[in-house]
Amino acid sequence: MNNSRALVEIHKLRKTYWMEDQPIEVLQGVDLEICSGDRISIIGPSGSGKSTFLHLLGTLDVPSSGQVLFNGNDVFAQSPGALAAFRNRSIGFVFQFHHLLPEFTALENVAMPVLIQRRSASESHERAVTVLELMGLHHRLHHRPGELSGGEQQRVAIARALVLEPKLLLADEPTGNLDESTAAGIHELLDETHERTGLTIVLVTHNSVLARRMPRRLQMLGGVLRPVT
Amino acid sequence: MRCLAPPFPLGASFALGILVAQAWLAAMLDFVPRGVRAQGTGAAMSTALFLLAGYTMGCLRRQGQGRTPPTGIPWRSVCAFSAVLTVMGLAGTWGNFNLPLFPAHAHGGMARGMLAANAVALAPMFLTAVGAALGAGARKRTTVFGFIGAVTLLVISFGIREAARYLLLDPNVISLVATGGLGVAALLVGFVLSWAHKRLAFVEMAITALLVGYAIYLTVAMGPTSLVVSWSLPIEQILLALSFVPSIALMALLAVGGSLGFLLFGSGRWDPGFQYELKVATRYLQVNFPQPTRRTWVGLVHAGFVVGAVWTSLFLPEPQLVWWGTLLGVLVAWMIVRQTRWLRLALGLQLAFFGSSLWGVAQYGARVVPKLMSGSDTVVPAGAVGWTNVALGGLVVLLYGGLWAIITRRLMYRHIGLRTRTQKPLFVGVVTVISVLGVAIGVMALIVVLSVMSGFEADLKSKILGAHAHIIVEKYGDDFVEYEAVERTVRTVPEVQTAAAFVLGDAMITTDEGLIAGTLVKGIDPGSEDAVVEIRRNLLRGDVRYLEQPDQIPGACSGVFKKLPKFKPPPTKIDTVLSSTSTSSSSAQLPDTPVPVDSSNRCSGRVLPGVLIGRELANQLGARVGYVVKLISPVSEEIGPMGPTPKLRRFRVAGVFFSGMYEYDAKHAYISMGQAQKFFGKRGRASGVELKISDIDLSALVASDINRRLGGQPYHVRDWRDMHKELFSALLLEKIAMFVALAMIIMVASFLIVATLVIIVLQRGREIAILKSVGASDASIMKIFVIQGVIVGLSGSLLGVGAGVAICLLVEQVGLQLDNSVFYIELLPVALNWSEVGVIAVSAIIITYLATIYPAMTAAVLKPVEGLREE
Repeated sequence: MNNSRALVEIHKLRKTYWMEDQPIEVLQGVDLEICSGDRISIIGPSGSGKSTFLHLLGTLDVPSSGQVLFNGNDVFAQSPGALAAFRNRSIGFVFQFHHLLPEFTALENVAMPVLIQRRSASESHERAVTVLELMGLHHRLHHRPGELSGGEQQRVAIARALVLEPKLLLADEPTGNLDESTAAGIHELLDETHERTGLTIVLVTHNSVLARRMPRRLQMLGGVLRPVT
Repeated sequence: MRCLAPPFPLGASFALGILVAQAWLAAMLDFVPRGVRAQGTGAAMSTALFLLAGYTMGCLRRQGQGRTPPTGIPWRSVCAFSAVLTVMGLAGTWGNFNLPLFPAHAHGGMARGMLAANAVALAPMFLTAVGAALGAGARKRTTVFGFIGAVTLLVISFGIREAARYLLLDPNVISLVATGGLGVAALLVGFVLSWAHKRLAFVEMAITALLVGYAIYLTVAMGPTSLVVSWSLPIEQILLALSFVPSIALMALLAVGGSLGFLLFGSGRWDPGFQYELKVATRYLQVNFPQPTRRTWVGLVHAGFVVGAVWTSLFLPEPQLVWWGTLLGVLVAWMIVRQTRWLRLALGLQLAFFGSSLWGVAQYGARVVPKLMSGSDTVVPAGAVGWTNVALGGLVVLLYGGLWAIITRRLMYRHIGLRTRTQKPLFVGVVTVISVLGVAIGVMALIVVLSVMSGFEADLKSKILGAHAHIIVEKYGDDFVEYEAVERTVRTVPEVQTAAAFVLGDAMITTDEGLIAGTLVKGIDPGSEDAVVEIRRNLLRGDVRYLEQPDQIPGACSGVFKKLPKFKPPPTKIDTVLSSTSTSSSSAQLPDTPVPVDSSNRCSGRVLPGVLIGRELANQLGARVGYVVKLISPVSEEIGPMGPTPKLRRFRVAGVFFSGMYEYDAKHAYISMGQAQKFFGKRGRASGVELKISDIDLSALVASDINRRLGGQPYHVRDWRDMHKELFSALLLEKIAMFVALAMIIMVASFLIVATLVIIVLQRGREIAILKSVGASDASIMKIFVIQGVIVGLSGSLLGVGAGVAICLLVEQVGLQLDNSVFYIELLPVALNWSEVGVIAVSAIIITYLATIYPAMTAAVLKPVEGLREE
């Protein structure tokens, strides 16, 4: 952990699902501190709650109890509109299955977060082109996701997550759907991005190689996060 | 709070509670006017109680740790509740029928209404379920905000009404302003409710709409009769409509205002932008607008020219040539582009058309231009009009067929390398097209049908106003001797054009052959131009002067004429238009048929007074000018052994008129005023004074002015609206019914939009989640789907308005023949009213907008993680 103020503080985070009036406690009180510039990998068996934790951290879901403080502010105390704006400017999310919008080109997908922020079309276009070129996709700007390879799709997804220079990048199995060499390319991309921008990365993965690249490794067991021994 | 009690006892307890509440309310509201009002009020109170019971059950059903879905209705409790009420209602109704339990006064009337509402099993179940759904979806302070909304709405609308009463005079305008004010207030309250809650406050709005709707109902049901007497509708229909229409209308307006409040402020800040939402919406509608190329512009210009030519042709008497020319032009263009074998034939036809068009232009110019330059008022000859059609048609063929094909073909060759570009053509998804067409058909049907109904109304109004007076001054009692002074007084009013006294009475009219008919006989002053100007205009045969000079009537001193065949109908409108004379009685006259005179039966010199009768009456009696008829009046001063004896007098037919209104032509007859006074025993008296004014829309104000000048009682002044109130009210009711029925088409189309959008939302759950994961707010997601619905609604409305207006203009120009003997009118009348078109278009857009709210909200409340989990 860097010796800087905590970017994210998580206190006793719980998530319970209800199935036919029976509770299923997925997270049973997670505590974590993430500092700016940290690179954290989270591993664990399937169904342990890694993705659930990441979704809560990315405010894609609402916890049953507990707190998530971002720069000292409780994110879930905000109104839904403020939460959406926070998600837009501060968090970048990369999913396992890229989750790109299929009817839009790579350029339009990457420009979407900028347009959501009500910036002009030209500024959105410019920023999207810049980021895609950094990803090495300058020749794929006007291609739809269906016309891209798996690695290219994931690069576009990463570009979309980074276009607004968020403080925190959350990646849920970013290479889970890719072959080894393509995955390696993605790993290097993440490293380069971190070196260039000092981005804080929290990453969930089954890939031990990727997990070992992260300086800080955590394990989700029994709904609780523990450091990997 | 979790509901612990088993469903049946809970439902039964609520039912018993409702019965107690009903009994208490029936006793409390004993002052409600008896009869229909009491029963209707009892039923309305019951519906309110069902909703309240359901709401409470829904609130109790809500889980402590989170909301149940809005449709989490406690069905078992609801069914138990309605079952107990139904049994009690049936038992009570049977008991009241066999052993009258409740008296006939208001108390009993309300109880009967309540029992009836209980006994109808499905209604309590439905209403309770709706209440439960609202309760299950309610949050903290929902009920409070609902009440606050209702009170605010009532206060604002009351304030607007009082301000209107203070500032305005016309009661109709006051009602309009009050209703409009209520509508605007509903929009504002909905807006504020959603802005305050940063969400679509649906339950709060529903509570507000229901409370205000009930307040309006109770005000009318319990209030003075003056609230409903001006509606000219039975009280049952008014109460039935008020029991649900205000609530539904208010809910719609609240939803519009509320959705706008959420869309603009739902993000937590002022956010009117919709740039990226529009982009996503059009992409989801599969609407692709490619960048326009030169070829696109050329095509658009020529398409515009063709549309303009076709529209222009609508104003020509015979537009078919232009249409054939357009079709031929399209065919030629296609052949040129495709270079088919028939190209030479097509080019030959095109040249022939073009050549004839040049000839037509020359003909038209030679005949018409000098006339136009000399300022002559002569109508353009039919032949020149025909050649103009040919010229226009030829021009269309030339441009569309020849030039367009050549230019676009050249462009196509020039840009042949660009044909491999991946620019997609204009494409619109099939579902989008179907949705747009659904709305368009509804709008088009509404415009056409309402225009036809307006046409019938206008036609009827012109015939009524042509035949009848605009204003009538009468006097209570039978001593209107000062009619000449009244005539002079009313002539001083600036808007009055004509004024004439008359005598009116009922009589039978009969012939020697025994044919008999009832008639309304009017005595007029034939020497007064004011009295006879309309009659003279409508006269087919004879002369109005014969009333003053009966000895001039053909056969006045000879015997009875033989019965002759019916009159033929007057010439059609088209014949009249084509002829150079205007529609006067002379143009409508038929050639005389010589009739033999029985010279052996010459009269002794006694001249019978003249009577003018309508065409239908003449046909009924087999009478014509010169024929002798008998008028029989039941009013007589002579007393016989059986009581007053009817008075009989012979008259000679002095003329036959045709007003175009069957009732008038079949029932009315005119004689001179002196004869009428004598015949009806009103010597020196009149029945009234009738007036025509310059602007019929001011009739109410002029009537009021005349009433004031005459000092009110015992004089009584009525305008044409008062005189034909039932007829115009019936027409208005018919129009409203037709509007409602046809608006159902738009409602069905809007359900199609709902279905389409719901399917889109279900299919695109993942994409909605993706957009939310990159920061799109709930309001922003809602905007995407609202925009989709608005695009469909706007496109459909515009298309429908265009098609509807085009059809109306076409029917107006070309004319649709009707069976004259059935409809008493030759051509289908069409009166395009642009304000009605505007109301229809706006209503369609509002309905389609409302249709988008539910699917848009479904998309907006979707949690990102739920959408992503679908993968």
